Amino acid sequence: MVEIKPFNPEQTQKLVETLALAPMLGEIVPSERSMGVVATALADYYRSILSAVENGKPIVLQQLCVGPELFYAFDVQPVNPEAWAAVPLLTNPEMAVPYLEIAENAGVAADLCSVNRTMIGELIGGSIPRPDFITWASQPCDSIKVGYYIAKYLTGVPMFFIDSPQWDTPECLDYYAHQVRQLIVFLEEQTGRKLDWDRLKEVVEESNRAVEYIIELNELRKLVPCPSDSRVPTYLFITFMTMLGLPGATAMYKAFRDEAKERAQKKEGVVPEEKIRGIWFSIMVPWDLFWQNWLQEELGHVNVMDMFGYLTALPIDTSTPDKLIRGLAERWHMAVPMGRQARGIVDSYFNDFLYVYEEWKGDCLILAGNSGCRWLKGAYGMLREICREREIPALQFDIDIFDPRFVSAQAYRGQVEDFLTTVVMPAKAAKKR
Amino acid sequence: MSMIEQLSGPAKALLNPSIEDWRQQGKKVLAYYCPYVPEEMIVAAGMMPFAMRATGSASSEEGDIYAHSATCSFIRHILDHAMNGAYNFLDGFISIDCCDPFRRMFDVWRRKRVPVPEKPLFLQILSVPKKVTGEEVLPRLINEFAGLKDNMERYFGLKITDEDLRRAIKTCNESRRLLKEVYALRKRPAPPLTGGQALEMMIAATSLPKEECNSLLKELLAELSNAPGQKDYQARLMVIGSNLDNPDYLAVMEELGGLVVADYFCNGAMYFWEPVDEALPPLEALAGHVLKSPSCPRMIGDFPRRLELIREMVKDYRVDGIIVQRLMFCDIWGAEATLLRWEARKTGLPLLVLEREYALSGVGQLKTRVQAFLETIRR
Repeated sequence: MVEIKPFNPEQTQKLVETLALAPMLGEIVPSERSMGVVATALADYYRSILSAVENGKPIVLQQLCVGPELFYAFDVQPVNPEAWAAVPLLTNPEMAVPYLEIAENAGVAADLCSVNRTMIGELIGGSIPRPDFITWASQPCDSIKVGYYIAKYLTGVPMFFIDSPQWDTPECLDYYAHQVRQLIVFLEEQTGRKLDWDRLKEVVEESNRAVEYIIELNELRKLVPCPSDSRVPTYLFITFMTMLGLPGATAMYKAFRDEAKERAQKKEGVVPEEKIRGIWFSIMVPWDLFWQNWLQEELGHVNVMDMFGYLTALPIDTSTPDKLIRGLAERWHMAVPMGRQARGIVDSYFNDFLYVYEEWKGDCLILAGNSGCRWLKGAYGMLREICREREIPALQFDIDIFDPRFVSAQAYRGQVEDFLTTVVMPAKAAKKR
Repeated sequence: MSMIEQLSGPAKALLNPSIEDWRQQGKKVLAYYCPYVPEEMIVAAGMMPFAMRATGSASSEEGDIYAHSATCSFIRHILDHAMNGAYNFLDGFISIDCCDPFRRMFDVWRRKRVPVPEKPLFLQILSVPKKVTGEEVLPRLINEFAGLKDNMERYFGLKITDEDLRRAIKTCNESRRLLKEVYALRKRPAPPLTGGQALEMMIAATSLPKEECNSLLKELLAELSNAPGQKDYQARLMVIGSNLDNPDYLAVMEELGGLVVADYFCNGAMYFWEPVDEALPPLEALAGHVLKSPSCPRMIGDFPRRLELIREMVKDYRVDGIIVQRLMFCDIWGAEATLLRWEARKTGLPLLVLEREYALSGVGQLKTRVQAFLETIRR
């Protein structure tokens, strides 16, 4: 049997220390101000997890499509493995490599998405806290669906799995909402506490305030030039799935909104001369910390919107428990980035991409194809045809979201640079003529 | 010609004379993929169900245009076949959301209107719950199947009554019962058919009109009941894994001295293991059948039940070793293979995990690995 090491907090403690330094960087380098804001929020998140481990507070391994709101209402500490593994890459690009190797050595298929392999490796290697229970949903993809079951098998802890139907019909939403109610029952059983509806209302209302800021911020990002940093959509996503409903997250979204608003009022963009408005509608490259700075500073490229930043969540009606549950079901089922696009027929992805491309006035599509991704890889041909029909310059390149050994930074950056300078810029210039 | 030889025919090509006869009578053929698709619905509509496969596809060139090379080769071969008109004999195609690549493959069919853009097929992908427990699951599935029935009625201009469905359930249950009886013969010390032949039979059972299939299976049972059987083998194998529709793959294992006596894959035992309850209202019975059948690893949380059935089969069929075959890039079976490997380590049951492409390739490597495995478990 595979042996699971006890949790070693050392690596996380170091990460917290590093994140705590980021706001200073923001003070020295104004362009890094948003990085400082998000680092503060993330440091709080990791601190609260370390504190939960120390104080024996229940810990849930929480997948991205099951929002954190309910867990905060239950005073259960959510640990989102996707974010848990992604954030340390900001400090060390090779941070996931040892865990990928642990998972593979234990017999996990080497072609499973590295996000899930890392989670499994971290569980075995003791670098993520051993949870008291696990919750996940069937969306967005097969890899997540089965990867979490491996985590459940390894830890032997109770699980709650939400089946996301392919459709968004009222009947499917009823089905989903029923499962949210069942999740409440599950959490009551696990914690031995009844849900405090007033507390849930409080958390969801806090999340509603956060959602309002996100909506406003994303509207501001439509401006030409774009007044908000290329990395902000990624920050939005990471914190949306980990901290939504906490005042710290709301404060962070407000700071992003204020920053963008301030620039917009001065009619300033995030870069002095915005040359290309990119739409990155697949994964980002978390292990290459300064890639977006490079694109902004060297090429005048701004990622004006990407798949993960395209947050379509709306405020939830908290007036009755039924409406609250229904609202959470709609949010988790229909508004979590990637879950929203990957589930069901491919049209949901294409429609979102085309909408974003038009609304955010994109100049091109950039598709960083994750090596372990299947849901999108089967759509490449169709997407190519769509872009060709609409004369949208498009680049697809292979990369691994957590593993820098698969394709190096130098190699993919070269491809992106060639595309932007030899295809997108001339196409844009020709359009102007 | 023996019945075994006769039943081997449909596996060799996509089309067979029975499908052509059926079509000549003006009747329709609907492809389906996954045993969770209620083929009774197709039979009840007076149509012939055909289990989707890409037999005869020599390359995936056209499919590669639509799907990345790091996508399951089965779907790339189906796409290639579709683009080249190999499925022009079909009137429709029903699938479930079994996996991500299959959903995308279905999207290509739908958006590109393959195989013939001028004559779009009846296409439906069903959203089947990815778990078998929970009071909400059965009603959701009944609703999904009711939607399929409505859509078929509307598209083809027909009515599928409860009586039609009951008759179809009886016919399909008869197939299941006969197939299970044939499989039971493989428990013998000298099984009367090889694994390759059993797979040919399974392909025939899902590529022939149901009544014809049932009468052939009855004759096969009569032929096999007194057959001397296979005695010359080194080890009895169970093959588990992704959809497998190429008997040659099993033949390679059997040429080396293994004898495949049991299986757990979608077009093997999973297809017929459980009958549909004939006493229940038809849609409820069909939905319930999905939940009680040997589950696909896409059904999250059901691993213990799958494992229990595999253990039972290992005991009943006197299995010496398990081979888990997995199509490259199949996440669902990739995870299952990991869990099975860990379980096998616990119990000491020999288990080999093989990765393969849809088209039989790398035979040398396959032989080496299987041979080495057989060396360790031979009787």
